[in-house]
Amino acid sequence: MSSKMHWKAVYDNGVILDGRKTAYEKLDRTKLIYFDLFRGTERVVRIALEDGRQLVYRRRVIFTSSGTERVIHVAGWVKKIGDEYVLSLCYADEYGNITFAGAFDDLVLRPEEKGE
Amino acid sequence: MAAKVQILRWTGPASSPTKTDITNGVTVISTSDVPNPGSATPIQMPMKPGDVRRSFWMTVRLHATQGPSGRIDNIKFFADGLNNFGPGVSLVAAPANSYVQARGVEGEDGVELSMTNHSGLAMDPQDVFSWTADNPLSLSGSLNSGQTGDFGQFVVLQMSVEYSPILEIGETPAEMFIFMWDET
Repeated sequence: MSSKMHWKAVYDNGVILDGRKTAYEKLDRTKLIYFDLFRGTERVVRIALEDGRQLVYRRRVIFTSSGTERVIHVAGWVKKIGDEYVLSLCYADEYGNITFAGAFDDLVLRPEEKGE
Repeated sequence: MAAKVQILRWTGPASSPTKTDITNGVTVISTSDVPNPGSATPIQMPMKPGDVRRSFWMTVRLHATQGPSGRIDNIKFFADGLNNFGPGVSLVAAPANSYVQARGVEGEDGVELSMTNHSGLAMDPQDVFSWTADNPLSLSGSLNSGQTGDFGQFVVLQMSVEYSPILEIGETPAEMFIFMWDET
Protein backbone atom coordinates (compact mmCIF):
# COMPACT_ATOMS: atom_id res chain seq x y z
CA MET A 1 0.00 0.00 0.00
CA SER A 2 1.49 3.32 -0.92
CA SER A 3 1.63 6.01 1.72
CA LYS A 4 -1.06 8.69 1.57
CA MET A 5 1.03 10.94 3.77
CA HIS A 6 4.26 12.73 2.97
CA TRP A 7 6.43 15.34 4.61
CA LYS A 8 7.82 18.72 3.67
CA ALA A 9 10.71 20.44 5.39
CA VAL A 10 10.92 24.22 5.57
CA TYR A 11 14.30 25.93 5.84
CA ASP A 12 14.97 29.35 7.32
CA ASN A 13 15.86 30.66 3.86
CA GLY A 14 12.44 29.78 2.46
CA VAL A 15 13.47 26.58 0.70
CA ILE A 16 10.90 23.77 0.97
CA LEU A 17 11.95 20.16 0.47
CA ASP A 18 9.50 17.38 -0.36
CA GLY A 19 9.97 14.00 1.35
CA ARG A 20 8.90 12.19 -1.82
CA LYS A 21 12.04 13.52 -3.49
CA THR A 22 14.39 14.03 -0.56
CA ALA A 23 15.80 11.55 1.95
CA TYR A 24 15.24 12.36 5.63
CA GLU A 25 18.95 11.81 6.24
CA LYS A 26 19.82 14.57 3.74
CA LEU A 27 18.04 17.35 5.63
CA ASP A 28 20.23 20.25 6.73
CA ARG A 29 19.30 20.51 10.37
CA THR A 30 21.06 23.86 10.76
CA LYS A 31 18.47 25.44 8.46
CA LEU A 32 15.38 23.48 9.41
CA ILE A 33 12.62 25.48 11.09
CA TYR A 34 9.45 23.53 10.33
CA PHE A 35 8.62 19.94 9.46
CA ASP A 36 5.14 19.38 8.07
CA LEU A 37 3.13 16.22 7.45
CA PHE A 38 0.74 16.42 4.55
CA ARG A 39 -2.16 14.18 3.66
CA GLY A 40 -2.58 14.95 0.00
CA THR A 41 -2.53 18.74 -0.17
CA GLU A 42 -3.72 19.21 3.41
CA ARG A 43 -1.16 19.90 6.10
CA VAL A 44 -2.14 17.89 9.16
CA VAL A 45 0.86 18.42 11.46
CA ARG A 46 3.51 21.12 11.78
CA ILE A 47 6.53 20.54 13.99
CA ALA A 48 8.24 23.81 14.95
CA LEU A 49 11.93 23.29 15.60
CA GLU A 50 13.19 26.00 17.88
CA ASP A 51 15.30 26.35 20.96
CA GLY A 52 17.64 23.50 20.09
CA ARG A 53 14.95 20.95 19.35
CA GLN A 54 16.04 18.31 16.84
CA LEU A 55 13.64 16.74 14.40
CA VAL A 56 12.65 13.08 14.78
CA TYR A 57 10.69 11.35 12.05
CA ARG A 58 9.93 7.72 11.21
CA ARG A 59 7.55 5.78 9.04
CA ARG A 60 6.44 3.09 11.47
CA VAL A 61 5.41 0.12 9.37
CA ILE A 62 3.05 -2.48 10.84
CA PHE A 63 3.24 -5.52 8.60
CA THR A 64 1.11 -8.60 9.20
CA SER A 65 1.67 -12.18 8.14
CA SER A 66 -1.48 -11.88 6.02
CA GLY A 67 0.21 -9.18 3.97
CA THR A 68 -1.58 -6.09 5.20
CA GLU A 69 0.53 -3.02 5.85
CA ARG A 70 -0.32 0.00 7.95
CA VAL A 71 1.89 3.04 8.34
CA ILE A 72 2.01 5.39 11.29
CA HIS A 73 4.04 8.56 10.83
CA VAL A 74 5.95 9.33 14.01
CA ALA A 75 7.08 12.95 14.08
CA GLY A 76 8.26 15.33 16.74
CA TRP A 77 11.35 16.63 18.39
CA VAL A 78 14.06 15.60 20.81
CA LYS A 79 16.10 17.84 23.05
CA LYS A 80 18.87 16.97 25.44
CA ILE A 81 18.21 18.43 28.85
CA GLY A 82 20.96 17.60 31.31
CA ASP A 83 21.88 14.00 30.64
CA GLU A 84 18.47 13.01 29.32
CA TYR A 85 16.86 13.17 25.91
CA VAL A 86 13.34 14.54 26.15
CA LEU A 87 11.04 13.49 23.32
CA SER A 88 7.74 14.93 22.20
CA LEU A 89 6.11 12.90 19.47
CA CYS A 90 2.88 12.66 17.58
CA TYR A 91 1.56 9.64 15.72
CA ALA A 92 -0.37 10.31 12.53
CA ASP A 93 -2.07 7.55 10.59
CA GLU A 94 -2.81 7.51 6.87
CA TYR A 95 -6.27 8.91 7.50
CA GLY A 96 -4.98 11.98 9.31
CA ASN A 97 -5.85 10.81 12.83
CA ILE A 98 -3.24 12.19 15.22
CA THR A 99 -2.23 11.11 18.70
CA PHE A 100 0.18 13.15 20.78
CA ALA A 101 2.35 11.34 23.26
CA GLY A 102 5.28 11.86 25.54
CA ALA A 103 8.57 10.12 25.79
CA PHE A 104 7.35 6.54 26.12
CA ASP A 105 8.39 5.54 22.65
CA ASP A 106 11.48 3.37 22.36
CA LEU A 107 12.52 4.39 18.87
CA VAL A 108 16.25 4.35 18.22
CA LEU A 109 17.61 7.90 18.15
CA ARG A 110 20.22 8.58 15.49
CA PRO A 111 23.41 10.60 16.02
CA GLU A 112 22.14 13.61 14.07
CA GLU A 113 18.98 13.66 16.15
CA LYS A 114 21.06 13.66 19.30
CA GLY A 115 23.00 16.61 17.92
CA GLU A 116 26.18 14.53 17.64
CA MET B 1 10.93 5.45 -1.83
CA ALA B 2 9.63 3.07 0.83
CA ALA B 3 11.21 -0.35 1.22
CA LYS B 4 9.42 -3.41 -0.11
CA VAL B 5 9.50 -6.17 2.48
CA GLN B 6 8.45 -9.80 2.54
CA ILE B 7 8.23 -12.41 5.30
CA LEU B 8 10.25 -15.45 4.27
CA ARG B 9 9.96 -18.94 5.76
CA TRP B 10 13.28 -20.76 5.89
CA THR B 11 13.44 -24.54 5.49
CA GLY B 12 16.08 -27.07 4.53
CA PRO B 13 19.73 -27.36 5.46
CA ALA B 14 21.58 -24.32 6.82
CA SER B 15 24.14 -24.63 4.03
CA SER B 16 21.48 -24.09 1.35
CA PRO B 17 18.19 -23.04 2.91
CA THR B 18 15.00 -22.69 0.91
CA LYS B 19 13.41 -19.29 1.45
CA THR B 20 9.70 -19.11 0.72
CA ASP B 21 7.64 -15.95 0.67
CA ILE B 22 4.71 -16.49 3.03
CA THR B 23 3.42 -12.93 2.89
CA ASN B 24 -0.20 -12.68 1.71
CA GLY B 25 -1.04 -16.22 2.64
CA VAL B 26 -1.52 -18.83 5.31
CA THR B 27 1.46 -20.94 6.28
CA VAL B 28 1.06 -24.23 8.10
CA ILE B 29 3.08 -25.48 11.04
CA SER B 30 3.46 -29.24 10.82
CA THR B 31 5.77 -32.11 11.64
CA SER B 32 7.91 -31.65 8.58
CA ASP B 33 10.57 -29.24 7.35
CA VAL B 34 8.92 -28.10 4.16
CA PRO B 35 7.58 -24.64 3.28
CA ASN B 36 4.10 -25.71 2.22
CA PRO B 37 3.22 -28.90 4.12
CA GLY B 38 -0.53 -28.63 3.66
CA SER B 39 -2.28 -31.26 5.73
CA ALA B 40 0.16 -34.07 4.99
CA THR B 41 2.10 -34.13 8.26
CA PRO B 42 -0.10 -32.80 11.06
CA ILE B 43 0.96 -32.54 14.68
CA GLN B 44 -0.09 -35.77 16.36
CA MET B 45 -2.68 -35.82 19.08
CA PRO B 46 -1.37 -36.72 22.55
CA MET B 47 -3.36 -39.63 23.88
CA LYS B 48 -2.84 -39.54 27.63
CA PRO B 49 -2.41 -36.95 30.38
CA GLY B 50 1.09 -35.50 30.49
CA ASP B 51 1.79 -36.17 26.82
CA VAL B 52 2.98 -33.31 24.63
CA ARG B 53 3.40 -33.43 20.86
CA ARG B 54 5.32 -30.77 19.03
CA SER B 55 5.63 -29.36 15.53
CA PHE B 56 8.91 -28.93 13.74
CA TRP B 57 10.36 -25.45 14.23
CA MET B 58 9.15 -22.80 11.82
CA THR B 59 11.73 -20.11 11.03
CA VAL B 60 10.79 -16.76 9.55
CA ARG B 61 12.76 -13.63 8.74
CA LEU B 62 12.18 -10.31 7.02
CA HIS B 63 13.55 -9.77 3.54
CA ALA B 64 13.69 -6.55 1.53
CA THR B 65 13.36 -6.71 -2.24
CA GLN B 66 13.77 -2.95 -2.32
CA GLY B 67 15.81 -1.16 0.32
CA PRO B 68 14.80 1.95 2.25
CA SER B 69 15.76 5.48 1.21
CA GLY B 70 17.26 5.95 4.65
CA ARG B 71 17.30 3.17 7.20
CA ILE B 72 15.16 0.47 8.79
CA ASP B 73 15.63 -0.25 12.49
CA ASN B 74 13.67 -0.77 15.73
CA ILE B 75 12.23 -4.08 14.51
CA LYS B 76 9.48 -5.67 16.62
CA PHE B 77 7.45 -8.87 16.54
CA PHE B 78 4.12 -9.54 18.24
CA ALA B 79 0.71 -11.17 18.01
CA ASP B 80 -2.76 -10.13 19.08
CA GLY B 81 -2.45 -11.35 22.67
CA LEU B 82 -5.18 -13.95 22.39
CA ASN B 83 -4.56 -17.63 21.66
CA ASN B 84 -7.48 -18.88 19.57
CA PHE B 85 -5.93 -22.22 18.65
CA GLY B 86 -8.09 -24.11 21.11
CA PRO B 87 -7.58 -26.12 24.30
CA GLY B 88 -4.15 -27.67 24.78
CA VAL B 89 -2.58 -25.87 21.83
CA SER B 90 0.20 -23.36 22.40
CA LEU B 91 2.68 -21.48 20.25
CA VAL B 92 6.09 -20.39 21.51
CA ALA B 93 8.80 -18.42 19.75
CA ALA B 94 12.24 -16.93 20.27
CA PRO B 95 14.56 -14.65 18.32
CA ALA B 96 17.60 -16.31 16.78
CA ASN B 97 20.90 -14.98 15.49
CA SER B 98 21.38 -17.82 13.02
CA TYR B 99 19.34 -20.37 11.13
CA VAL B 100 19.22 -23.97 12.28
CA GLN B 101 17.27 -26.56 10.33
CA ALA B 102 14.22 -28.00 12.10
CA ARG B 103 14.62 -31.56 13.36
CA GLY B 104 12.40 -34.37 14.53
CA VAL B 105 10.62 -37.44 13.26
CA GLU B 106 8.63 -36.39 10.22
CA GLY B 107 4.93 -36.91 10.66
CA GLU B 108 5.41 -37.69 14.35
CA ASP B 109 7.12 -35.13 16.56
CA GLY B 110 9.47 -32.17 16.48
CA VAL B 111 12.50 -31.59 18.69
CA GLU B 112 11.62 -29.20 21.51
CA LEU B 113 12.62 -25.60 20.78
CA SER B 114 15.15 -24.59 23.42
CA MET B 115 18.49 -22.87 23.67
CA THR B 116 20.04 -26.30 24.16
CA ASN B 117 18.55 -27.78 21.00
CA HIS B 118 18.82 -24.67 18.80
CA SER B 119 22.30 -23.15 18.87
CA GLY B 120 21.15 -19.87 17.32
CA LEU B 121 18.46 -18.91 19.82
CA ALA B 122 19.06 -15.60 21.59
CA MET B 123 16.71 -16.34 24.50
CA ASP B 124 14.42 -19.02 25.87
CA PRO B 125 11.19 -19.43 23.90
CA GLN B 126 8.14 -17.62 25.17
CA ASP B 127 4.41 -17.75 24.54
CA VAL B 128 3.89 -15.81 21.30
CA PHE B 129 0.72 -14.27 22.67
CA SER B 130 2.66 -12.64 25.53
CA TRP B 131 4.09 -10.24 22.93
CA THR B 132 1.56 -7.60 22.02
CA ALA B 133 1.62 -4.16 20.41
CA ASP B 134 2.20 -2.67 23.85
CA ASN B 135 4.85 -5.22 24.78
CA PRO B 136 6.47 -6.50 21.59
CA LEU B 137 9.54 -8.67 21.16
CA SER B 138 12.50 -6.53 20.04
CA LEU B 139 14.57 -7.94 17.22
CA SER B 140 18.08 -6.68 16.61
CA GLY B 141 19.24 -5.74 13.15
CA SER B 142 18.80 -2.97 10.63
CA LEU B 143 18.95 -2.22 6.93
CA ASN B 144 20.68 0.80 5.47
CA SER B 145 19.94 2.89 2.42
CA GLY B 146 19.95 0.92 -0.79
CA GLN B 147 20.56 -2.44 0.87
CA THR B 148 18.33 -5.38 0.06
CA GLY B 149 18.10 -8.96 1.29
CA ASP B 150 17.47 -10.63 4.63
CA PHE B 151 17.55 -8.43 7.69
CA GLY B 152 16.80 -8.56 11.41
CA GLN B 153 16.96 -11.55 13.69
CA PHE B 154 15.11 -14.74 12.82
CA VAL B 155 11.93 -15.63 14.67
CA VAL B 156 11.66 -19.35 15.38
CA LEU B 157 8.24 -20.72 16.30
CA GLN B 158 6.98 -24.05 17.57
CA MET B 159 3.45 -25.24 18.16
CA SER B 160 2.78 -27.73 20.96
CA VAL B 161 -0.27 -29.79 21.79
CA GLU B 162 -0.76 -31.00 25.33
CA TYR B 163 -3.18 -33.75 26.21
CA SER B 164 -6.63 -32.46 26.96
CA PRO B 165 -9.85 -34.48 27.19
CA ILE B 166 -11.52 -31.90 24.99
CA LEU B 167 -8.89 -31.83 22.22
CA GLU B 168 -10.39 -31.66 18.78
CA ILE B 169 -8.98 -33.34 15.68
CA GLY B 170 -8.54 -31.06 12.69
CA GLU B 171 -7.06 -27.77 11.65
CA THR B 172 -6.72 -25.05 14.23
CA PRO B 173 -8.04 -21.58 13.42
CA ALA B 174 -5.46 -19.33 11.74
CA GLU B 175 -3.57 -16.78 13.80
CA MET B 176 -1.74 -13.71 12.59
CA PHE B 177 1.66 -12.45 13.64
CA ILE B 178 2.95 -8.97 13.08
CA PHE B 179 6.29 -7.36 12.34
CA MET B 180 6.81 -3.68 12.94
CA TRP B 181 9.76 -1.44 12.14
CA ASP B 182 10.80 2.18 11.80
CA GLU B 183 11.85 3.42 8.40
CA THR B 184 13.11 6.63 6.90
